[in-house]
Amino acid sequence: MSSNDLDRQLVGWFASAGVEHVPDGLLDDVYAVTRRSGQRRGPLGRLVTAAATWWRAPAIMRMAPRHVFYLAVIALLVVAAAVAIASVGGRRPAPPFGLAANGLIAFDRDGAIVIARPDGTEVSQITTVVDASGPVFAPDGTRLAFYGTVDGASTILVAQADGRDPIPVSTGIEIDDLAMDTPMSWSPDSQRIVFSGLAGEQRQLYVANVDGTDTQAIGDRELSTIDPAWSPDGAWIAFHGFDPAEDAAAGEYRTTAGLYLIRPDGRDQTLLVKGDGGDFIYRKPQWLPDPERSVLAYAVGEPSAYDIAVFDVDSVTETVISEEPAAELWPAWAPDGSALTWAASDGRIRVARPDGTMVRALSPDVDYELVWSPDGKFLLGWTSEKRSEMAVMSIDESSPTVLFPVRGRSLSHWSWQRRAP
Amino acid sequence: MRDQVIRAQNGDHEAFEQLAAAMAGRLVGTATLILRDSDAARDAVQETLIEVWRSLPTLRDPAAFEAWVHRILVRACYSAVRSNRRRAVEVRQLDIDVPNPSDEQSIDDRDRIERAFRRLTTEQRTALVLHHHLGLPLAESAGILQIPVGTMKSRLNRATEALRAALDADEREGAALMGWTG
Repeated sequence: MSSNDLDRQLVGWFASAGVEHVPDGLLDDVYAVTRRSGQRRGPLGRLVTAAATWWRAPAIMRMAPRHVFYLAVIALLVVAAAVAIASVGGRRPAPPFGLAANGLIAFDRDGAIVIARPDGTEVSQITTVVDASGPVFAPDGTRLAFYGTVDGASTILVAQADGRDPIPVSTGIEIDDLAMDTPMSWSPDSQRIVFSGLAGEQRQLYVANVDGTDTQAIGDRELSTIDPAWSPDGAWIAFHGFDPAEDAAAGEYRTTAGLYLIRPDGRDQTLLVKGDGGDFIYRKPQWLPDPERSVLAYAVGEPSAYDIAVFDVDSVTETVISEEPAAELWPAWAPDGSALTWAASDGRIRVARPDGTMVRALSPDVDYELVWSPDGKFLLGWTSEKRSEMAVMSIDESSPTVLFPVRGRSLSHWSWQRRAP
Repeated sequence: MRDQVIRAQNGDHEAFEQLAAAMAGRLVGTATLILRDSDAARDAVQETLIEVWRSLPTLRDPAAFEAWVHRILVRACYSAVRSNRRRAVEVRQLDIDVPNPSDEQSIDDRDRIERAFRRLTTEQRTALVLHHHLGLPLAESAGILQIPVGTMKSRLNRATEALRAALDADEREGAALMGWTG
């Protein structure tokens, strides 16, 4: 049965099974509660309260907003100066870890890769291939990998950081939507990439040189493997693996999957942890950016209650570090490993210490799948609050969020270029 | 609808009740498909509408009202699944009042789809319902599920694969049963 036939059957069944009949008494029960209960205060209400509090404060405290304004202006000038210095002196490759200078941001919009300065200026489309998406800068900031359609097939291309000289590196390997959901991962020396492709009905990991030579399939062919992440010391690749048959046997509501390690040459495949729960368990594991330690962050749990966990490979210990009632997903490490962010289902990003303490909620300007700026001061993410937009938001909320409208249909991943400090 | 939303945000019960009455049927249909249990769907919609009333002033863009309500509904459905599992309650088979079979799809086909759909995870079912039942574009569905558009696309892809695998398994089980009974 073709996908279109299946979709048609499904839509037909939905029409009969999704009966839009309101059960007797449902609305009466709702109104009985709402007629005697109040509403939470919105932003305006909070503003009025804040203004009243401010007015009641001592005079010296009432000066605070002006000071905050001056500080914000100074911070903006410092950031602008840092960006200017970086753009002039950014010819040296960036180190693969730790803090670095901020380069350009890259994302896909309307089937093309767009790069821009993070302050919202110099936005330019740099690709001509069809359906370009999912850009990822190399750790040294000199190259950019992305997905695109070449000769009718989805392919991974590696180009200069400004989009020039794209080279296909996955020729002959089928790249499907699930594989494209994952950004390809660069080796720390920026010379190789690992990505997921379709081999028959299973997904397999492939390691390739950036010039498209020496492409090798790695990993157990019994397992469907996605979300590869190259470790900072270059010795391992972490990935999400699942056996479709086992996944189906997990039964209603469950998905079964594991987090694995494998050497870049395909040796020593090792299961770190396995479990069942929501669809996003162990998806997109994130290495702590420290070559001296092997620590991964990811989500565990159920759809309504995902939590963030970290796995210390050396001590073989998994620790759940966030246990709020909200569902929490998409952890991302600060470039120096000093903090961890994640998305929560209440729409507000959390920032915390790596052990999960000192959690702070940011204003809901950025939703999820966050990328830290190389200097550790900003987050690049996506928001759908009003419309689909990329957003650059300061971690300490000292400067306004910069928004980039993205009406495109294939928005997937985004990246921030590292430059030598 | 925008005016009603703004009035409801300002505490107007009548405006809220008009909105609730207009949306309730669709919410029930969506929750029933996701949960496959009519009682749980009723509870999820009730919880959703109460939460909508309480949180309406926090909605920043009245034009985003419907997507915002669906986000709350999906969260309520996930919570219902979670509490059902915690109580170790089997989710009951939903008796579907199947209308007259059309030429395009027989009752047998509908039953097969129903059984296969039941085997999917809650998140896979939700993705299919938002996109194929409510007809929401990828970006809007992704916004409701709080996932990037690319992830929404891949989830739909994986859900369709899982549905096909479940249909195949159902067919094999049927064939084995036929062989067994002779």
